[in-house]
Amino acid sequence: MSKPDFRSILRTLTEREVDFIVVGGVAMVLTGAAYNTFDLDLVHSNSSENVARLLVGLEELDAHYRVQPERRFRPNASHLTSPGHQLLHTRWGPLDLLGQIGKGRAYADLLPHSMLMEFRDGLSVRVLDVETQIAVKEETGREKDRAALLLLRHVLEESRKKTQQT
Amino acid sequence: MTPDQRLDALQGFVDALWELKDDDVETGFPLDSSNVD
Repeated sequence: MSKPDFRSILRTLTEREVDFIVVGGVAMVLTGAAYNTFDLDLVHSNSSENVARLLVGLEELDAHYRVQPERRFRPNASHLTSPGHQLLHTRWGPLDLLGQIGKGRAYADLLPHSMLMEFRDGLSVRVLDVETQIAVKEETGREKDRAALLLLRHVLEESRKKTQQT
Repeated sequence: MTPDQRLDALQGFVDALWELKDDDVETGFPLDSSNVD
């Protein structure tokens, strides 16, 4: 398994003009939660044009499924158009491509609830806002999300306090 | 903190843990095996 490098995966996909939104643990960190994660979770647009660009990016990333890694199964356009979750390894570590999250929230549903974040060297990516991260985790209702929900609610509360003070 | 500082901090944590990983245990690295975390 390759050492995770979030920035390199994000850069590869943005250079290919892939439309996606960062969700999951990395989105939590980027929006202010003190959280740790090892995999990068993205919800991608499943339009045929975007899936075509995504496939080129995944080829560059040498992406293949984490299940039976020795067989190096690669996702195809049909997989990436589906609402399912594609759990991949890449040359820069794990990458989860999610067709939908929560109760059927796809890229188009999440886009109005995302913000564009600017990073050094011209990298800019869309990240899911805190309110929607909370809503998604509440919808999912998994035991493992409880700690994450506490963190996210705290971030939201602090953010609202700051807004009131200004 | 800026988005860059936050991403760098997370990457630093991952890098540090990677150094602790046993080279012989390819599946030992903690990884979400299901979906969004």
